[in-house]
Amino acid sequence: MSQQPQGPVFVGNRQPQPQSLADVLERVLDKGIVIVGDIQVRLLDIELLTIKLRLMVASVERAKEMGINWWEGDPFVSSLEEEDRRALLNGGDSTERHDELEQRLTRLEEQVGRQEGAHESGC
Amino acid sequence: MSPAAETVLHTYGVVDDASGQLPAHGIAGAPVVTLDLGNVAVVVSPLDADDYGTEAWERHGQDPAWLEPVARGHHEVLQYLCESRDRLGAVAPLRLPGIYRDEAAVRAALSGRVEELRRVLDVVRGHGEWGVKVFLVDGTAKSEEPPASSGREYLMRKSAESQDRERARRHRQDLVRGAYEKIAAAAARSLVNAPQDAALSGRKEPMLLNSAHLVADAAKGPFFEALEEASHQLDPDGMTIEVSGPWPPYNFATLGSGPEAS
Repeated sequence: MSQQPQGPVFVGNRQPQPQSLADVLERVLDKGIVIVGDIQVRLLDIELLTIKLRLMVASVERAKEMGINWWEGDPFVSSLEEEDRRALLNGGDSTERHDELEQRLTRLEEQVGRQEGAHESGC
Repeated sequence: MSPAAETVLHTYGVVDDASGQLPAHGIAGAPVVTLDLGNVAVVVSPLDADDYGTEAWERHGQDPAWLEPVARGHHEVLQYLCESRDRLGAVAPLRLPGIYRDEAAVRAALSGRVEELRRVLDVVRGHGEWGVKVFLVDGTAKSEEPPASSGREYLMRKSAESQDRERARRHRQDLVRGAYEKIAAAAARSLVNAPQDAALSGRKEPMLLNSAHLVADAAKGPFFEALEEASHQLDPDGMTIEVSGPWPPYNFATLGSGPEAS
């Protein structure tokens, strides 16, 4: 209250930072004109996609800090052993949030699995 | 089942005609071209069928590493089209995934809907989409009290705190609703999307509002003023407004259904 009231913050308009990936995915996968064409593609829940994406980005950043370059071989987190993944994601501190995130991811994956029948794991 | 083609066509969006400027390249560096459908044109890229066809989508559509460049490429082409068609032309984004076997398939899917597409273009013409988010940056009560002297006092204090929190939450809700109404009043069309989860937004602060607004280019001034006012109303209660845009009108390019209030 002692400070000047803040105005709106304008973010992510191309340069220097690109628009947030969550914002882009939310729009291109969930909005816009839908035309049923000759090719139908089943798409997973956008929430699941973006959560996976966050996990992946967090892991890559963390791994880079640690000088690990596993992502060059297989860029997806689920290929990691549980413990490695935890270590990569948390580096110790924000364990709770990541645990919650992982639980949600598992729940979503189970839901998707039920909807689509059994499918091979690993992307 | 038809034999696998060499390329598939990826559709980005619909524009008025085939005359406007196009970006140098689209997804995966592919050329961007227009197909004239008569009264509208559709912007497409031929993409390698093995890398971006149905099977690729089925296999990788849930893999963020594969999807990110496709989504960003799609968006960049639309953003370019919007920016290069400022006043005269309109752009209506098509949703991902939109892939077709060949030109004939695109024509077959779209040419029966030219009138509808035309109407969508007229709705968004001369407008931009703006995204507005409200974050709760500081939701803590600031009063520092000495430690409770007894268990009873401690419990009473806890109960009072939880009532205070509930009251503060309701108060914030009212403020956010008021802010949204103020902002929406300055826009041609508005809608509220689900707030993004922290896992999506990448932010620790809770998102209290995630809305989209279609704003006439000529009415940006009053819209920004409304944002400024709303921002000042939310600031004392620890909430900030973040604005992004102008986006291609993703939220307002819809066919047929959903009679949206104007």
